[in-house]
Amino acid sequence: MGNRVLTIQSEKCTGCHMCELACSSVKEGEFIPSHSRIRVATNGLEGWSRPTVCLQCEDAMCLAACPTGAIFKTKTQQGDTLVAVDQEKCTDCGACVDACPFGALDFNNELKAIKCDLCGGSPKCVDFCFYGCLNFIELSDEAYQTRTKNIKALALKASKEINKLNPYKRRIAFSLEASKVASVSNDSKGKK
Amino acid sequence: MLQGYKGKLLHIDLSQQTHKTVPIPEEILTKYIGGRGLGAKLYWDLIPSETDPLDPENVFMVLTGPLGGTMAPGSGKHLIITKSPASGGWLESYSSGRMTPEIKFAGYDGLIITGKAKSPSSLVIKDDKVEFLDATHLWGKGSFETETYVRKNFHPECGCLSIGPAGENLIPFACVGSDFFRKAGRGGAGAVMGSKNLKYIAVKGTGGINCADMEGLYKLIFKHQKRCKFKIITPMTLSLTNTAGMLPTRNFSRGQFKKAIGNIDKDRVIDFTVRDRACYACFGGCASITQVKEGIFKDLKIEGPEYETLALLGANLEIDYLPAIMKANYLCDDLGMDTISAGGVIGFAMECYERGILTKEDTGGLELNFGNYMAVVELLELIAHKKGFGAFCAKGVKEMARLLGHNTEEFAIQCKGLEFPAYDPRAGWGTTITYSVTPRGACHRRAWPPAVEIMTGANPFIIEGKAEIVRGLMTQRCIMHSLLVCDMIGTRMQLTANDWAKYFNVVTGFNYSGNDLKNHAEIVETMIRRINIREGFNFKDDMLPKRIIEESLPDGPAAGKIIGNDNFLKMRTEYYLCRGWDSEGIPTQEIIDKYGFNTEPIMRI
Repeated sequence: MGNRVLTIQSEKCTGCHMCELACSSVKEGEFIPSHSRIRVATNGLEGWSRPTVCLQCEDAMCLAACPTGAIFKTKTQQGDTLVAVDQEKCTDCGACVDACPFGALDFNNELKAIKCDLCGGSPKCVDFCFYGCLNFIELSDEAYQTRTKNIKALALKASKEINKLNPYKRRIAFSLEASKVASVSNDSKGKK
Repeated sequence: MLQGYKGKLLHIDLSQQTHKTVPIPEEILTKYIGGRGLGAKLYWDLIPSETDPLDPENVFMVLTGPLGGTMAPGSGKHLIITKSPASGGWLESYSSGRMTPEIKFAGYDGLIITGKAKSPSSLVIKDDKVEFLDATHLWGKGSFETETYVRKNFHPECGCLSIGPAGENLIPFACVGSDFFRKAGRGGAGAVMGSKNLKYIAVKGTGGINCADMEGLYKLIFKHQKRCKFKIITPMTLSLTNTAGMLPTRNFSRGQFKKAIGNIDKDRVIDFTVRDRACYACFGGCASITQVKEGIFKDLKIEGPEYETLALLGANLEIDYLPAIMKANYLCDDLGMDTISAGGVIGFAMECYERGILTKEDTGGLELNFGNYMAVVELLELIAHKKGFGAFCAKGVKEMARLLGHNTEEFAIQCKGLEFPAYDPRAGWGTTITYSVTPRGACHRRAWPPAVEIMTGANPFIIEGKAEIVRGLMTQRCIMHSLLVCDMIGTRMQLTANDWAKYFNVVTGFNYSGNDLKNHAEIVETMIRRINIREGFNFKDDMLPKRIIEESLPDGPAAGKIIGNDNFLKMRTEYYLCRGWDSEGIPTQEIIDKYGFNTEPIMRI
């Protein structure tokens, strides 16, 4: 345990948005995708969709940017690496939203930063992804290190564009590459 | 407060550029549920019989159901209710995409649009804000360019309904596009938008939808998803209908098209598939993105083609070149035309051409022989823009036949002005009932008798019991169309009325039984029958063309078998009677009283 990550095989995303519905239903108690922690971007004309969700970066730029120390690293109840938000300390300054190169953070109605917390180690979006796009799987130490390295490189690349792109556009721009940071075999069905 | 519902409609008056919310009494919601049921009630109360479909007084409604915007499988459907430019009566037309969830998240159960804008306009709705924007710069443009503009300038993840040139030109088979390749295709809803000078409607909602029993809903989803593990796509239907001899070929003059197999069937579509797609909130994933790899249509990429398009723009025109069907599909989607009716219209024109009733002079030089796909591609553009010979085809087969004379109405394959879908009723006689009595005209989605006559081995060539079969199938569909879930995934999950009641109850907190829902379906079917009677329809309009009733197919299992007028009328009358209507299809006073139509609240806007 400890090397479990939420992987995205974006070529398998069909655009059903079940992940957004599942996420918001468990986090907010209602179906409210505008508050989902996972976001699907769609281009219907070109025929693709891709989810974006927090990668739980080892060197999280949101954490570095937060002026009040509201964002911190921790573990889920099940021991998975997690970047979390202390809602008490959050002052809705928006620095984290600006800092995330992948557009994975947002604010909720109470103007507090919200992000994926892996549902404590049993992510609901994965349960309701019936197309095998989202999986929550244990990586080997080596694969985990490679993923961390890949995220770092991609974050660096993405930060160069950061002033030009709002979070939505960052999701469009980098969700494809972000889905490739961990190599997952194509027939991986995760826990299903 | 009911869960699942938002309890109100948004009424928009395009003439006055005003809007207001209209509460829906709980009594109406419990009786009419949503989707088709609610649409029937609203049509009855809001659309006068003297109104022409293209008058500003016609009402254009976009409705959702109680399950819309939740995780209930297949609930990403929306429904357009209006007076039909194709028939002049009741029109319901379904599509999917982002519209339903966004309407619900914005806080409404539906949109009611009345009046007519002075110049090309659009409606942009974000939660409780409604804007009327100029759309002059988009008038004349295709649906794809329009929707691309909306997603770039309003919101990339919004619900968007748009029309193409066909809708602007008031063509009676103009469709309403949504999410690029999704269409409310049948019956000409696009022409109603065009008549209102309404180019597009964009909706974005940021609110939420309550659910009475979230855990209960999760459980139902997991349970039923297990029944749908294999991908099923509609092109699979083609080999089935071809074997059964009901695949429309050469304008419904044959029931089999041998060249279809291997060229335009599911295997070929799978060869072209580059990615799977699904509707909002569905685990069925029955849509495919296909791409042409070589030839004159190289690189063309579409979502589809679905069975109906393969059959009507393929087999029915004797076209066995899949890329050409995809091109025609793309054009119809962009120009804003129903592929079913377009295929019916061109098939009819081709038969007239080959028989010499239409000449090359009439067609403006187009050689309309069956199989000439380049002529089809050219003609689709002409139809949408009402240019040259296209202006004649833009009238639909019923009117074309009336103008041509020469007994062409005998092979003008339509009912109530709506061209046939891709099942020849002669190879499965139950379909004669659905095509003739379906309120919007010839339709395969109110009931699908091949499910019984072809797939379970019931004799397709007898009349006994068919009325009851059709009634049962229609009841199932009506329940799905009022809850507003997709009947494709609904059928695949093999859900009973009791199962649907469970979905309804976990979302809304109601305590309905399967029988309550079945009773609801009876009420709605009778309400819609009353609507069409008020519009001036009677049993004489529930008629099919002579070719179908009095001629036999030359090939397949149905070869040589004639339905005959007596058999047809017998099935039809049995259907009327089992609904509690009289032998001419008029609901009895007894049943009108039983369903309480005269004692319920009247909806006003």
